[in-house]
Amino acid sequence: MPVLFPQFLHRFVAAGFVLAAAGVVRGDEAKEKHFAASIKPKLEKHCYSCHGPEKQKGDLNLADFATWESVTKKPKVWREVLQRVQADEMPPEGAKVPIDYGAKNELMDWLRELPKPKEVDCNEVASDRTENYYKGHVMSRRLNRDEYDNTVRDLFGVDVKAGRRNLPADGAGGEGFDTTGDTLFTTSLAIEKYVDAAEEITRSLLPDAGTAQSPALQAARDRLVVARPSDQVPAREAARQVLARLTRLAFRRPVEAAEVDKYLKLFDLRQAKGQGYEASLRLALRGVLVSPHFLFLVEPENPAGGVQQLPGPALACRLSYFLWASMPDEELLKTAESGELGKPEVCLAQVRRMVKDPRAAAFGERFAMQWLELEKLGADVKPDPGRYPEFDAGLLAAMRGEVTEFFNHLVAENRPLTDLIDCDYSYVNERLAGIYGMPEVKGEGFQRVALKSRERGGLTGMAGIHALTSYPLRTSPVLRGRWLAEVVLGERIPPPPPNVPALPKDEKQLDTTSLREQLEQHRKDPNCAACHNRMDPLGFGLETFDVLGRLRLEVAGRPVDAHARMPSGEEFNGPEGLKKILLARKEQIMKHLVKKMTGYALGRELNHFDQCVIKDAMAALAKTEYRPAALIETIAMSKPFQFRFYPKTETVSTKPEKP
Amino acid sequence: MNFLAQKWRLPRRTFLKGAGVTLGLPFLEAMGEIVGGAAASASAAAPATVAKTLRAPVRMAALYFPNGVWKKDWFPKKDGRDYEVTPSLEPLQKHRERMIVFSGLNKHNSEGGDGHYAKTANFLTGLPVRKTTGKDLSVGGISIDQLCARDIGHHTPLPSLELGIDPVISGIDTNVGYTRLYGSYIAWQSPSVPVAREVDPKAAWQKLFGIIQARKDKAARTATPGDDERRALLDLVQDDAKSLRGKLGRDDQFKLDEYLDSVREVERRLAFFSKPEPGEWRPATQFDDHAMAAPAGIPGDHQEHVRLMMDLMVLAFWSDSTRISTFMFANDVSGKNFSRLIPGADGAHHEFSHHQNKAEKYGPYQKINRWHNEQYAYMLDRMAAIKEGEGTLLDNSMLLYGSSMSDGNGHEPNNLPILLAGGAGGTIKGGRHIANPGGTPLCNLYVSMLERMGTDVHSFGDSNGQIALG
Repeated sequence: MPVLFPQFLHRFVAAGFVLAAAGVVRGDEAKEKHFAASIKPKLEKHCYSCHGPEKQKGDLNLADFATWESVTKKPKVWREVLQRVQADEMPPEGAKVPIDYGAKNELMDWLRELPKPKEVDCNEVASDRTENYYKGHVMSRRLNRDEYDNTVRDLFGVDVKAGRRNLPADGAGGEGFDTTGDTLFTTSLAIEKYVDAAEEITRSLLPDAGTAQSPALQAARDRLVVARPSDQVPAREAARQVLARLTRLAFRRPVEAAEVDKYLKLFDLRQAKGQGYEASLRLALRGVLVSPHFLFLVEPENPAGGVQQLPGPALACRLSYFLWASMPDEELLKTAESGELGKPEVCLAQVRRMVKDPRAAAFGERFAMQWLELEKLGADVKPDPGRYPEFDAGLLAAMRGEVTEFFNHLVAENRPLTDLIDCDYSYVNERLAGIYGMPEVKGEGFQRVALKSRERGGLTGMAGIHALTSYPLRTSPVLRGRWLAEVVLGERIPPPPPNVPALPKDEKQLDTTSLREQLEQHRKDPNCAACHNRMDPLGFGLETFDVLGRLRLEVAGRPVDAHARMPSGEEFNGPEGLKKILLARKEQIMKHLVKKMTGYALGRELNHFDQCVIKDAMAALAKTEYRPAALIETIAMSKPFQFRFYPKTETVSTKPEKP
Repeated sequence: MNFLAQKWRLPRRTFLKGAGVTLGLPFLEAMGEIVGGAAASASAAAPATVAKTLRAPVRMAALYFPNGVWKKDWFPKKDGRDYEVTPSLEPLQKHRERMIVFSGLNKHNSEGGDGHYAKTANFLTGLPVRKTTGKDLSVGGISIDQLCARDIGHHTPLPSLELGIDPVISGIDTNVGYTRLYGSYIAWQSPSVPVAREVDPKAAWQKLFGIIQARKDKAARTATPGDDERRALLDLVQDDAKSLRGKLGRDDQFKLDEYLDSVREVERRLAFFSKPEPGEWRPATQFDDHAMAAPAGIPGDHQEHVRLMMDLMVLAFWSDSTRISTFMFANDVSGKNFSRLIPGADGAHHEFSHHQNKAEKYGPYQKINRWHNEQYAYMLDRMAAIKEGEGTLLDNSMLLYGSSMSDGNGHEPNNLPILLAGGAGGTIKGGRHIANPGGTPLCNLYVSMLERMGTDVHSFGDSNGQIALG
């Protein structure tokens, strides 16, 4: 009760304040009048036909805003309106009622003066009270399949990939990554597979006597079995030593003796059956590998409540699963256990050390692949095998490999992230060199090549992207444009309406009119133009690349036409021109990358408190010519990454306490 | 025995023979005879029972296909027994007498929301789907299959079997602001927890084979070696999960609950075989382990893959490994290209479904519908050819089949294309088109099905009655 009263009082006071404020809003009256007399009619005339009572394209109904006051309640909606009108994207080209210059300027002036969305307090993180609790914290979650394999690899020092062979695939959520707790489910099937995978791992590490083992596995076994029974050491004691060491690493935190005892019981079970030391140990290890302490990344509650920095071991896990997609190593764990990791300078030093470690290859393999949607290539998206027999597992691996290698080199060498947009080098192996026309490159390994062609260089010149954004039998300026707009520029393109006319599926069917002409026809319809003007021009810039990313001079018997005009009026030609267009928007591109990486790191959908991280990261990037270290460090040191909100009123357990 | 045992190679046969091959009926009829012949040995293994006198249990499956149908070629105009054969339903006419065609069934709770996700995720729950990009998933309630599994799942080693073709789609559909997960699941154990499904025939086969093997082992001795160890291991990790759960906040407890429930389910399966099976009915055949060759993995051909999964469902029902199963032909919004299976269907399934009444689009769209029906007919063939008691496996089953929308062009959630095949133990009268008055909830059919599964449920989802199936 005493807790409730101040809150009630607080609300009362706030309400009184609003009432008092209502008396002195004469300025607002003028704004209301201006809205009713001059803005609303313009909205009715130019916007309502698509965003009004009849149609609500993009889920937007401007008729909902009858007064200026109602407009001020949704600053985010109107900021988006401003952005779109400012970019000349709205009203769309070819709209029924064209908007004249004066009216548009008046509308923009009005839009610019609207109250801005409220800035958030960057010393806060989302909490119960800020209504964002459910989107505000990283929830305890299980390891995803790749993290499982990486963790097993780093736990035992040998890469057995048992997860990939045994476990079902994970879905993704949040900002589009499989690090999102919301969408990492655990099912009985998964449990059975975890038991199977654990069996496979422990058998390869501790095989039955007489089974041959590779040198790598033998070395792993020697590291694992730190004690053996002897005259001085009873078997159980030796096993305890092995398990004490292993559980601390596997559970990524200090482990109490009583916990180790629980796993020793599995050891005892087999000993009682007369089985050998290693066979008995094997069962105990299986227990460790199926335990939720191993499979889950958990962040225990803090009874103090409120916004608190994570305890050392939990912070260490956030760092290691962000930077390595794997468990903390001994140094990080030790630092965490010593209580030093919470100090910013110590933490930053660890981040810098970890980014230089080979395990940071997870950025390319896991972050970049998911961000750029390249996981779909070879699965959902495949060039037609009849027309493009070259596209096999080797070429697929080479296409994905180029992007992974490139991204990892950016991180490892701290190269400007704007190299993603344009640069004069890439990483190519023999298979890819066949596509790029570089006969001098040999072998499966990737090597850095200097690019002479201005068409290549940056993501837009990479074959994997070209294949990902093509139909099986032809390239698609629309798909490529959609990819550039959404994945690279971070724009949101609504889905096509149901009544889309069909375009030929195969470039060979393009007889009398070219694809470009058909698309241009399409864009004469203002319904289509609104979105296609944002996609197609970008995509046309890549017409010089075929389905497999080879440079071409002709499409279906016509010379390639890679010329395009943006809604803003900018004209460009081909990949080189496109890259100039993209470079002019590098802030936007970098901001999207920042958002994506923040979402990946936090494993959840972003909320408005995360704007602070994005702002900080953008500032840090601007200062360093967009070096990845600035981005990674800003995220890792940010408030939402290092802190979380702990509900205070909630009892720690929902279960009745034991008597 | 040996000859026939060798013949029971459903997975491999379909796998090896490739697309378009329907296993010949003679083979199955022969197997049917064997089934009868094997009854003696089966009853030898379980001397207390005589298979003949016992009634086979009712099995239930739900098969989902994405993107709706070209209605003109799907729905018959005439109601009742004399309904005319429509082009899309034509492949199913050989099973006409075992099947009911429905029209006028609606899923009102999908009237809002987006075109696909808000329709597919609740295909079997009938309740509203919450719009979300991942957090706070909700499909309103438990799905019918899982409700049955909860009520009668304890009769079989597997409470239910979930199969599919496409892996779970990751990411958010930013176009509509829904997580794509919603398009990947129809089976939900709770409003927020979908049931994982197996897409690899090999893995599904191993699961079934493990059960069949465990049954056999059980006949030989009381427990398989290692059972005690597994149980000890699962007890230990369950203990860990309980203590860990106590240290977490409310949301994270929910994550640990998923783990706990799953461990319990695995334990349950272990326990199932450590004591006498509930009920007296036994499949009247010996599933010879040498006879069932494992499929090699996911076949490259879509039709082969689908048929393998169907074979596995049939095997699961036949062996009484489970009585409840769901299958997804594809995830929703599937853009699968059928050009290799259907001449002229050179394009993405989803794109064709937005046909705008243009022949060049609804033509292939209808052919894709028809292809799905051919696969359904294949499964009915298999089940109709397996003798069980006085009838066939199909007579003792009911297979719901349909899509979560009607016309794909407009994403209609009403007048859904729904078929129901099988006799459910002589309680369903086929050979009819039941044209429901507009506005009849699909869930009314679900209530009628639940009743036949022996669950004590009288309403479900948005049901307001039942549909007379007898």
